[in-house]
Amino acid sequence: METLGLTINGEAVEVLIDPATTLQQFLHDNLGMTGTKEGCGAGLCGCCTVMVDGMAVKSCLVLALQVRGKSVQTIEGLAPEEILDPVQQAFIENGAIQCGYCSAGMIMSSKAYLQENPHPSESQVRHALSGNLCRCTGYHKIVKAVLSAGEK
Amino acid sequence: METMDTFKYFPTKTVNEACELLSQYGQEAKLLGGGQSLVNLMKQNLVMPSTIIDIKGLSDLDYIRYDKKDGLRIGALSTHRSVETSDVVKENFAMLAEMERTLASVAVRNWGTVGGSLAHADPASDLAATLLALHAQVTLTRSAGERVVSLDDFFVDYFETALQPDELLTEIHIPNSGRGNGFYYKFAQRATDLAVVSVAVYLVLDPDAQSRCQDIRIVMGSVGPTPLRSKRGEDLLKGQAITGALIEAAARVSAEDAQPTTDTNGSEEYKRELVHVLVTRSIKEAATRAAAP
Amino acid sequence: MNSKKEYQYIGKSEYNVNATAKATGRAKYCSDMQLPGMLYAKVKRSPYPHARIVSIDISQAEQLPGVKAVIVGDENTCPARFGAGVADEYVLARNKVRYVGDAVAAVAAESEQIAQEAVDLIEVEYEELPAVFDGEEAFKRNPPAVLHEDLKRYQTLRSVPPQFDENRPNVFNYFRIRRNNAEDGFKAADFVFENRFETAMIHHVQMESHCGVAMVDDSGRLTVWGTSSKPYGMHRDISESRGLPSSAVRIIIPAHVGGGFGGREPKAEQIAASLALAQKGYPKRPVKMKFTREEHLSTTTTRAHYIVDIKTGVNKDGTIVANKMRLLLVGGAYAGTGYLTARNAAFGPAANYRIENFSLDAYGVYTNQRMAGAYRGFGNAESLWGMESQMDIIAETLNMDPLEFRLKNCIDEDDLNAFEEVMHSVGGKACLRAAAEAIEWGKKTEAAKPHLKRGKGIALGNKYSIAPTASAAIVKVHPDGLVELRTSTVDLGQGSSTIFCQMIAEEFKIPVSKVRVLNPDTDITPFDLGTASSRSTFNMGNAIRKACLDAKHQLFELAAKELEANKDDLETADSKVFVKGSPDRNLEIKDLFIPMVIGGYTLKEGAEIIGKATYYLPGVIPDPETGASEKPASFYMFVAQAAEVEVDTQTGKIRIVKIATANDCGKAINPMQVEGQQEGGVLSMGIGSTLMEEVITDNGVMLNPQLADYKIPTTLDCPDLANYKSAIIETAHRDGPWGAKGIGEGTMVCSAPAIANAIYDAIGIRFHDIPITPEKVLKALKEKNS
Repeated sequence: METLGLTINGEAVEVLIDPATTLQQFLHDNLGMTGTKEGCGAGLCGCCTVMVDGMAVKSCLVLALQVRGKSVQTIEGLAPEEILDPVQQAFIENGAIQCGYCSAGMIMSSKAYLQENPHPSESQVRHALSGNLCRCTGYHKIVKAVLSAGEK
Repeated sequence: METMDTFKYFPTKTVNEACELLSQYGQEAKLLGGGQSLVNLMKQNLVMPSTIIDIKGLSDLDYIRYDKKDGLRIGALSTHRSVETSDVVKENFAMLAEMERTLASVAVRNWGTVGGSLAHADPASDLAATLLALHAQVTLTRSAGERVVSLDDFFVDYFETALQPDELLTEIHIPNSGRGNGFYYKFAQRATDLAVVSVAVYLVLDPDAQSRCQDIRIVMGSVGPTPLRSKRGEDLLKGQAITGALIEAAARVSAEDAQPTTDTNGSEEYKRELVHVLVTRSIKEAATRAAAP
Repeated sequence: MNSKKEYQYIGKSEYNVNATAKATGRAKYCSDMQLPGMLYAKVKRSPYPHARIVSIDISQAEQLPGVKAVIVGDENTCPARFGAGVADEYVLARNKVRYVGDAVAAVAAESEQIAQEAVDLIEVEYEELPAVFDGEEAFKRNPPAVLHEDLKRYQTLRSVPPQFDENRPNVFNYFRIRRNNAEDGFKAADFVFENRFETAMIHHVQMESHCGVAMVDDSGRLTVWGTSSKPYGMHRDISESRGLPSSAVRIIIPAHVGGGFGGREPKAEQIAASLALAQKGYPKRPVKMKFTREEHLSTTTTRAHYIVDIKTGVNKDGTIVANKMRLLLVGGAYAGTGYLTARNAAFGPAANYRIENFSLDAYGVYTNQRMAGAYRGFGNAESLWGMESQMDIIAETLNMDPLEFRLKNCIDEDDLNAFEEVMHSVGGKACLRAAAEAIEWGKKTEAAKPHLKRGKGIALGNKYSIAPTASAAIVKVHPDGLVELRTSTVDLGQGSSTIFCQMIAEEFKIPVSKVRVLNPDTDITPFDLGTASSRSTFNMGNAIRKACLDAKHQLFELAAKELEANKDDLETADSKVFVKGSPDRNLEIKDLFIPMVIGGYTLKEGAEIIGKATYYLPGVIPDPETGASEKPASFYMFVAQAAEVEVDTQTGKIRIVKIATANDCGKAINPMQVEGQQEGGVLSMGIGSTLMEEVITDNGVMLNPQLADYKIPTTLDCPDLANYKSAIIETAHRDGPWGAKGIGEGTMVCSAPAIANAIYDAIGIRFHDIPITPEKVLKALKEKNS
């Protein structure tokens, strides 16, 4: 067991974990923060996307111990006080969520990208989200939502 | 969900620390950079190291430096994303930044490192093919010292490199020719896939005769155990005026010299066809770029 | 029924009622469940496609610390076979394994790691048997392998039983249509065309893998949570296969499920249930069985490899005079709902065009692969792949515009289809015209380079919705005016809960936010056939309306006394009851409840205001000889799609330049959600199944069981926003709630032929099987040019 100290959604956390624990497992299973989901376990679907120091990463391919001392933001941290983040609001208003299993990861990837590039073009949005798979929506309303959040 | 076996874990803060641990644990240990390849293998139990030496924290190796004479030096722990977005890379080695854009997806590039990518030595590696075309060299460091190896000699076989068990890849160096330009062409079913076939061309035109090729590298990715130089193709063009016929000839011999295998992505014959087309298109594009003012 | 009428909530793009929970990560799926003391399950699977199980040694596995239960396929685990139409499977294989991945044992342990270790310690001895993978081989009278020697002795579903074939031991269902005389039709025809078309095996790739959680409480009662789309179907399977009375089992489907698409056969849930029950003594700990992505892609049900033979006779004026088809669903080791897919793939071709002489033989055969069959479209995308490709071949020979040819023959209101059923609510022609307009049919566009070739294609489709069918709904009016719906429809992303809220909001004239939908729970929510066949809007919608009427009836009875009015003169809105025409004579619903001493509120009689109703549509089972029926289905959704493609003739790569869909859904209860279905159907599954998806196997082993190699479209594989167009056609159905039919499956039943027809227009090559990969294109181009 190893100590892991980090910040999650602004809160300091310190625990002991088995080194063979991915960040996704740590968040979802150890901490019960189920918004960060496993879709494939191999870094291909993006359902596990979180932000580490503001960057989108695939938490299923990151060992939890690698984020020692870092700041992790999960979907639960976007709207802590019931006021939705503009990206979340845009997803809802544009009908960009169907089964929702990919949504948390999709929103985190979108949020991270908009922080880098606040007013992207459609092509840039598609490029930023190419690592987030969705089976329900065909991405159409997702792209619309991110563009509309980008306009604000 | 796959289950990883547990392991001893050592985070490191300096190259020396890492080297010492490597000397100590050697074969049982695996170096962990971004883990975008390694963690995946560990989760499938294809690789089961008893010891992990985490070098992601070696911030000393996270740099991109450019000098007009010396060229580009990239620390092994630089992420793909930092290379993709670096101004000096975009300005001076555009094909490198463009290649990075085709590599997996943003989140993978945010955490995965260039050193890790090269050490992993996947024959489909976009980075490997591109750097090979750019005449890159790598620095391999151990406790006792370091050595510089040309990328031509670095890739040995499928997922096998010249790295010794006690060595760590610390730097990538692209010597600057100053007058060249290149193009990376990746063919895959989807933009986020590994290349079915890829081609990287780096071309330097004769400063006194702009239609003449002074030097060229043609690298084929994903069609052999390592990225392959099309030496016959290169020799056809070196010192010659670049004509459609020569490009066609270079493409033809490249396809002949490629070593593709049949798999779920395509048959050997199809991949050879693709090599032909990609080499043709890449040389043309590289030549157009190199000739541009 | 006038579908142009304006309603307050119906026809409005209300925000999805589950969207906030999903957008904030609060929504909990079965995969997220964590119960105290929960154990984790892992499965031991057969490495052989066909083998006798000689022995299984679980002793070492049982002794591993942390292991709480180990089960094998025996009397204890699963005394009886189960199956949707033919009871051909056990929870764990008994005596024989029939596909690579067939489950032979399972373990529940403290952690996934321990469970996996234990699985690795289980030793199974097999005696390999010859296997059959090829559909035509399996179909033979003397096939290389027979999967179910005792097939004729298996129990079958009474209401829609499968038809076996005396002479073909691997056939698990057979269905036929004989309308007039196809042979005479061909003799009289000016032209006859005969072709074969095939589709590769593909997977649904729901983003949430199959998952089941099972728990036995201290009274011995079993509760199972799962990702199944058919809670009552699962209920029957789980209780009957264990000889448990139905009241002994409770099935719960969480409010959020990560996709369905027809592929949720309850395998994970069955294993979890057996492991929960197998624990000795009390307490029995809950067990979670979540399939890994690899297990999901390689062992769960798929859309089958389909072989479609089609022979069509036409006159030179373009009239289709005869059509004959043989459909072969190359199924897996167990029929599952694929037994019905094999039969119902017939509907699409039967109802697309007016065809006097129609003959069809549809079969489903067993092969040594995992289950195959039910997928969005239920066999109709596959059968129409054949028909709609054929139609373009015919149009070209006749020198007719493919659009005009289809418009000429397209079925219409009051026409008879091949079942001799009178068609009602038919939007085919309107869809064709809308799709054609959206793609700018007839206008050629130029590609930027000489090696790039462009073309356009169009296709027509339809999707029936199942009969017989039944849906029940219970509607409770709370004292505070909230209306609660108890329904077993599963909201798997399509937005059923949202439209049900809209329906109730419309009936009670309250905001959508004052309606609550409970998630499926067989203890609480009444019977529903299943969230399948695009049937929920229509069937559950009708049940809901009837239940609302029943609830309002009770409400008005209670209020009539207080308001001193006739109950027939009452109305409700804004959680009030008032006299029609005199709104000041009103009371609030809460005023019907009397505060009682100690606390709480009660009605004077009737306990609660609960409306309940069943919407039951028996239909008419088709005649076994001719297929004739005046009502073989509840309704038909029509669709037309058109595509513009660009082919790189040097690499074979195909780019979708533009794609359009027009779908007739009767009435769009929520247009934004209908659009969402259209988009997903076309852009993900339409493009995916046509250009890149394929389960690649070698001797029954799947070679591409991860998302890197089993390819579904990414954001970069879909056309830009401006290059995707959709139209909603509303051809009201007289029996549908507000005229509504359905939408889900109509969205991709003709995507493949639309794209393939465009490819033909671009490069003059007709592909007979999908997916149409770059390699296939390049190979065909080379052959054509040589």
